[in-house]
Amino acid sequence: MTLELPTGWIRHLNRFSIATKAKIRGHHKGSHRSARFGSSLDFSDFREYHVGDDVRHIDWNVYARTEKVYIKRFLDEQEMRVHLLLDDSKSMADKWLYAKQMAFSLGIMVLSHDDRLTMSIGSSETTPFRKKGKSQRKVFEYFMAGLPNPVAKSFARHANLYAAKDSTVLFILSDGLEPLEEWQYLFRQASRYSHDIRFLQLSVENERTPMFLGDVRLIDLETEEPLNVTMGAQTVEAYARRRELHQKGLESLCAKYGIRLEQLHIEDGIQHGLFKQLARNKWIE
Amino acid sequence: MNFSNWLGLWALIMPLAVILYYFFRKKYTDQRVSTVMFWEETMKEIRASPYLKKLQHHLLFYLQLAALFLCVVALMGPFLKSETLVGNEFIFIVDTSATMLAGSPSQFELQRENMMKLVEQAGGKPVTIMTTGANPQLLIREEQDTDNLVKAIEQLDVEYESEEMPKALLFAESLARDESTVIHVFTDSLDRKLLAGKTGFAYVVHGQDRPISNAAIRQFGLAESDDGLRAIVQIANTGSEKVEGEVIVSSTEGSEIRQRIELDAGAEIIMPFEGLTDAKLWSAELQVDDDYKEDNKISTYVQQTVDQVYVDASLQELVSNGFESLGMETIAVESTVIGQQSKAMIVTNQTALLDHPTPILLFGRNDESAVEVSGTIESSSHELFTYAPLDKVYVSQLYPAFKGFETIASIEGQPFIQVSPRGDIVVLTDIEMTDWPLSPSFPLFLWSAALRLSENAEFLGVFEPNEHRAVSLVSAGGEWEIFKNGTYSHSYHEGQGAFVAPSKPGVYDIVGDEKSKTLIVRLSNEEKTLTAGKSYAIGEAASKETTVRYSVVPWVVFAILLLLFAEWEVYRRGIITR
Repeated sequence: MTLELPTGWIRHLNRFSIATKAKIRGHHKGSHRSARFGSSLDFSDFREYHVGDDVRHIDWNVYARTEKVYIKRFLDEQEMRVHLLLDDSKSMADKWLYAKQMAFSLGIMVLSHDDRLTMSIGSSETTPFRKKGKSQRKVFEYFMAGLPNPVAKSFARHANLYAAKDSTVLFILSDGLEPLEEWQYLFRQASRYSHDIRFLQLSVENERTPMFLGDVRLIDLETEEPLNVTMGAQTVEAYARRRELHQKGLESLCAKYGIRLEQLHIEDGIQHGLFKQLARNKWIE
Repeated sequence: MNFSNWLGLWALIMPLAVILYYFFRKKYTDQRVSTVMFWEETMKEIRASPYLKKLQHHLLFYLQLAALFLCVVALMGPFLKSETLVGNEFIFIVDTSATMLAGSPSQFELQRENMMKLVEQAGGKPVTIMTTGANPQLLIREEQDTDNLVKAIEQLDVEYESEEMPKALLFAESLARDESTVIHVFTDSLDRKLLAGKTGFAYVVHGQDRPISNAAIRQFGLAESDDGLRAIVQIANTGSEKVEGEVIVSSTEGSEIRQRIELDAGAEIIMPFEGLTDAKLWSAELQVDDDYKEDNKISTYVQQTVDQVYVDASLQELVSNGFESLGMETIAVESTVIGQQSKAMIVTNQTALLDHPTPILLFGRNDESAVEVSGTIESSSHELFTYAPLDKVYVSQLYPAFKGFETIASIEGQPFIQVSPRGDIVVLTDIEMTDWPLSPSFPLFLWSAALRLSENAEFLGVFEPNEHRAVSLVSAGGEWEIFKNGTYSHSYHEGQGAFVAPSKPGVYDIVGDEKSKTLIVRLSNEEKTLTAGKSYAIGEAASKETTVRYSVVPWVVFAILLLLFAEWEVYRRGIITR
């Protein structure tokens, strides 16, 4: 296991599930109870009545024929589809482990609840992961372990969203370090595929408050573009100002497309990010 | 290469500054970051690089350095030193005599190259170029432009006439401005004695000391004898080696006699050629292998001598005095025996002698009596009057004219001077009847008459190259065309100064109004002897500068410009490829 996760992590994850208010789609059996019921919904299957079930759901016709109490289930209660879109551009190199851990944790959560998980890596040729159910957890683990290191030069513009079709929840894991126009393009595309989009923005300490000293030739990981910078209070301040501006722009874009944004600091660790930040925000429950 | 301005070294600061700039250029450490989006570039440098590693590949740096070093060099005023001629002004005396043609390549060509070299070294100081000869010619005066001087030197040509060096030296001295003038003499040899007494100027003599073999025909004479024409050829070998060859005596009519000769060094022989055919124009050619060809051919013309005149003793003494004043041998002969003379022209008053074979100048008539006449003399444009105008001559009496004779001067319509069909001249008056002998035109008339009567009408004479001589050439057109070997060379216009002989030795035809005369141009004997002479210098010019400086700055500036262009191009490409 290359994800360096603590032991018993998967068991720990089983207690959580992705929380969504979006209407769950899909035509197949899931384990989510529906908040609503009604005749307008399509019939799905029957289930034996257990104490605590709403008696109004008992199918009396079946009872009349079999003298057994069955509950008629509706589509509302059916499977949830979650898509994970992972940024594989080079700038993710120093956040890659964290990104994989986060994606893995979310993916396990989805699969543990018999839901359908799809996952695509940027625009890469890697076939998107597309599996459903608890039994596929091992497959997913292998899939995650086999992920190549990030090599792409850009993400937002070329992200492959095809596999995210009809997904209930779409997670985007990225560092957001691309021009706002690119993000706007991606968000517009994504909003067509899903109504519940969550943007997990990963960042490292060095990006937030750079600690370089002296004369530095900065080389962009993605474009290889060199830039000569003499470090000083003034330059760092200018950097912070421009970064904040970018962040604000990103936030307003998210607001515009109804995307929920959560900033995750890699230094805080995956446990903090997952169980504190996401749970607190009711992204998982 | 030298530098005139070592102070220019201070400019080394410039390239040093560039080096320092490159040395202390910021050393940037590479840092890979996720994005450079949020960073502002501190310094727009072409490329940040650790200096030493990149220096080696930094073309721009090297170009800049090279340009700056060249700037420094230019500021220091580099110049090339070249030997220059001593002196502030130069006079070139160029010997154009025939002997300069000796040798292969000829001495003249060597001296021409020599002059070119000296002109280059003159470094813009004024140079005067003159040629030698009876009339020294000034080719170019105080010229400072090297191109013009080179052009003038290229146009120099041998004139064949004797160099007359003393004359040329005097002329050159009159041209010299001050004591810093140096007179260069380009010749084959110049005797030191000629320059011995001279002070004031510096002389540099460029002689020639190559051993030169030369055999020359010194003399070629023709004489009529009883057995016909005989020729004498005098040949001298002035060289230091034995020569072998052939002497060819030929006439224009085609007859030719050949004789082999062998001449030891310094030997001289006289070769007689007997029994030549009856032709007028003969030439002798020496066919030997020597270094000087110009004196190997000589032409001559069979002619009567003009130095004798027989004067009738009965004639007035003024006539014989007149001839004597011309330097002719005047022989007074009794009237009765004068008819027996046949060697030279006869001056008489005996009309009967007009049939005599010798030319006759008839003064008066002994068979008729004179009649009174008055009025001015009208003379035609006969060649007899070319130098003897009859303007203010008074004649009191005239004899009757001869019929059929051509009248060339008349008084009031009556013939005064006539020319017989045979060419004899008749003056139809006695010396006592006119004041002509008192006029200066009288001896000139006698000279013209003697010349005309004695000379062969077809032969103008033997000239030295470029010789100026008064000749009686008269034609209606006034123009005489001079041909050599049938090709036109130039024209002589009557009345435009004295006749100047062509410069190149040989036989010429001079044609005017259907009359044709032969003229021979011969080298003077002086030009047949070659003398070798050393080069030497006498005197020292009052000038110290002995080098001339050629500035290299324009070339350096040009190089800097090229470098700047290269730099710009490198910089431009650098921007594009990035």
